[in-house]
Amino acid sequence: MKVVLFNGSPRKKGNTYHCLNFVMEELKAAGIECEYIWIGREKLQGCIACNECRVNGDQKCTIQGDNMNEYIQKILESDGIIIGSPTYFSDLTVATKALIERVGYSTGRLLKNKLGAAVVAVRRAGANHVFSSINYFFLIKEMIVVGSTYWNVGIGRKPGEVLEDEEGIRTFQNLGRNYAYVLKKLQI
Amino acid sequence: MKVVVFNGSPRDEGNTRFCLNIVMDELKAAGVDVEYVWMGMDKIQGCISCYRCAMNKDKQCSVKTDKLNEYLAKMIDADGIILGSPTYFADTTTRMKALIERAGLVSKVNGELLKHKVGASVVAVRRAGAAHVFSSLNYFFLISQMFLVGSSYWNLGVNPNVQSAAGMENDVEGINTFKNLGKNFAYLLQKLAV
Repeated sequence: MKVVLFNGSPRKKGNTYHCLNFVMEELKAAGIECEYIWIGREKLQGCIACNECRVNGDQKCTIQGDNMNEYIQKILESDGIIIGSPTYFSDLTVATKALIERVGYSTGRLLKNKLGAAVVAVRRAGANHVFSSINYFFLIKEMIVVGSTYWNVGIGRKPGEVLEDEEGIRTFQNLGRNYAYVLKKLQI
Repeated sequence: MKVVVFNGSPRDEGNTRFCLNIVMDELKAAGVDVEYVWMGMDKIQGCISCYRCAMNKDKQCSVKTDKLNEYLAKMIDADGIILGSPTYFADTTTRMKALIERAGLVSKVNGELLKHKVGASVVAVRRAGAAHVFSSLNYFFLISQMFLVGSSYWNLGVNPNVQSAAGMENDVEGINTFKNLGKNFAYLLQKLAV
């Protein structure tokens, strides 16, 4: 069982990182292999609607020059995906959006029955909109989205502030446990 | 395996029902027991924030003048829950919102009664706003530690005719979406039942 986690925050060790880390620790404790990828500073462009991925049907994005095809491959080889983003203008970051668009278009129905979860860091408001934006990706790809005791949101602005958000930490820990629970069920 | 399906449309036989029927047929074909509940014309009020449910912890809403407790008991008894709603002012209907608020809070304060059940939302729409309804319904499942099932598109059916389900049969992509949703829902239910 393998899960790949993407952090779309431009901050390497910001609040999104900490939020993802709480989930990842639970997954590892349950014996699940995790690969963590920080994409928040990469120059990932959005889909250019060339439609070539659909014509070629080879699960590859024809845009060259960035790491997207490597990420597509990692996702195809994993049993689950977790996408983390901070809240920028009440929505996800550009790198996160680019990942969703290009992975989404190039993978056909191959993500079906994989697991998904969104993780959001926020200063004050807008997190639920980010949460929905990421979940739309999972739900249109026939994936299974895992819930928790609250929406997967951690509150904090300065890097590390989320470590004081007790309810947020609990939410991410419960998310990790629920994620591992259903991942194991899907292997049977 | 049992799934309870709530229709929050004021029309029992309208577009939302048309969409729900496709999902229900797939579930039944997979051997799942399905109970359909139409509550879209119920006089069902919203949460009054009295927090008696948190004090009493008896798996009941203390507002007992409507059918909420009956509906909640069906949810607790089921392995899966499907919420269907038309699009009213780009959001869900009043009755469906009442169901979400009260069933959601009572479940939470009684030790997460809906944990690890399977959920899905179904939306009927004339033109736009369905994705927002879809999110509003999904928030209920995702804060209840449930597992949400995806499909080949967001679970919505489009029909320019809001008066009846006549015309919804033309939304081929919508019909396929609901068929796939039913199959994916049954798949996860079977996996969780092992």
